[in-house]
Amino acid sequence: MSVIYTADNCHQLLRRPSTEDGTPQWYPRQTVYGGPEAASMGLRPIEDYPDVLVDWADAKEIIAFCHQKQIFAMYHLDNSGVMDAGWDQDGYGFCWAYGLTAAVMSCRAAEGKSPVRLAPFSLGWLVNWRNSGYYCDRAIAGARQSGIASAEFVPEHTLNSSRFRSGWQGDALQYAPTEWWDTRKPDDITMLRQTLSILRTGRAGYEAFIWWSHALACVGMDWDESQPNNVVTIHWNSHADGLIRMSGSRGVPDELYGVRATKHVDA
Amino acid sequence: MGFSGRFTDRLRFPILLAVVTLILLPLPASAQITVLPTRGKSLGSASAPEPGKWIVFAAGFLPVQPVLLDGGKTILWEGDAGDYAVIYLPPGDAQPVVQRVTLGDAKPPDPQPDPDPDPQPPPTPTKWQVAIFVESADLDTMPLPQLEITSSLVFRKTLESSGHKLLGVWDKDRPTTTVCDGDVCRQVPVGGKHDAYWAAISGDPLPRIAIAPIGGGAVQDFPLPATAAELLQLLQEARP
Repeated sequence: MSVIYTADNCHQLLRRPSTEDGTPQWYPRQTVYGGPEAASMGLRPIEDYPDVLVDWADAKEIIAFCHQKQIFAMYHLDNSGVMDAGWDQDGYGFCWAYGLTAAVMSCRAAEGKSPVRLAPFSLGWLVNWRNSGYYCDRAIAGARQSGIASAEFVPEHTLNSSRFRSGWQGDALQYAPTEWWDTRKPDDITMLRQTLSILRTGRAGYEAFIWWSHALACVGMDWDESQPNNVVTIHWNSHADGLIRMSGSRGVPDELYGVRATKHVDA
Repeated sequence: MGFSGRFTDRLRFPILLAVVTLILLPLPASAQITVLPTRGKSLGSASAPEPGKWIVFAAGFLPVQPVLLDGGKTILWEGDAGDYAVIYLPPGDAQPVVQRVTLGDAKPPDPQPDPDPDPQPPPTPTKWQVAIFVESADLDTMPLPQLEITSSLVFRKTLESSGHKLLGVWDKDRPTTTVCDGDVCRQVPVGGKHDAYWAAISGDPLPRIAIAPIGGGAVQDFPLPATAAELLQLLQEARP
């Protein structure tokens, strides 16, 4: 079992801001949950149907089922072969792009689409090709509009788009997320219920933590009665550390967007 | 009917044909006749280039009296479903011709259900290409047993090891493109190699599956079964 990061040891996860000017890698959302602008970005409140949020009394059984049947996104990502422990933003302030890309790749895997490693740096246009932090909701809108190019066209850790292979923008359009669930966090348990409601579909959550100023992908959950709320959340991080586990309030994301569907290219 | 009875019945007609053929083989020369129908009809017909003598037997050496037409070149007869032997004796020294004709079903149905049916080898189950269509916004309302179908890696491996191929679990919304006719523009789906699957589920309630044989064939669609086991059963029992 890997280390479970808690309030006591989560400082081990912290890295210095690695953007050009020392500003955070991630900024809190600019849209309002359930608002028209969020809707225009394809963000649909998961509480549109409040009765479908998982009952926390059933969480233990659901989590066990999702591990037994390998439903959680962590299994799809691992099986697809597009991720590895080397999933690494390598000191760039692009956690917002890595978390989004990981979530989109996991959705494609859950949809049974052919595994394609996507390039987070193809989203660099959103920050004018600077080493800069960004917003999850704006990044979703950008990816929905222009897609995420494959690593075949866009090399990693490159902000000079002239080095990208010709045709990368057309390539990116094939890999666009189209539909999302939006969540809100009035308290930890409500957020965990929404998160598990998404994870049980096999989809990942594109998430962010205020305490960490960091965005990544939530890909699973463990039931652990020795931990607060009895759960440990599982994330695919982009610090070359692969899957990490967090518990307590440190493990409950402040923002989370569930990617529901990606563009269908019927070639 | 017991095993020995069925065995004898099945052999009776081939024995009749063999006996008649052996009797007639020593005769010189040969003639050609055309027999109708193919399996499934109740009216038999045989014709030859020249008028001749015709003999028709039903199973059990029962003689059948045909109607002669065209001066004896053609015969017609009507009878119960079963096998018939048609013997044509051409004029002169030409060799007689024996032909088998099957009317209706090859065997008349047993009046009583057979209490002891022969074990038949099961038909080889078809291997299917499977496309699952969902409204992705409704995935969070889907019961866990159905989510096992749409999202379980374990189930996908079971499907694969059973010889089936999962094409994908697709949201109902297809990419569209704008097509304009003069000033009037409309959105139409971007076509592709899976058009037949999309067409099959078009207008039907979701979630749904569409299947087609791996070797090619018509697409069939069904409501998404409630459990993974039911889906495997559906694939086992479906026929192209």
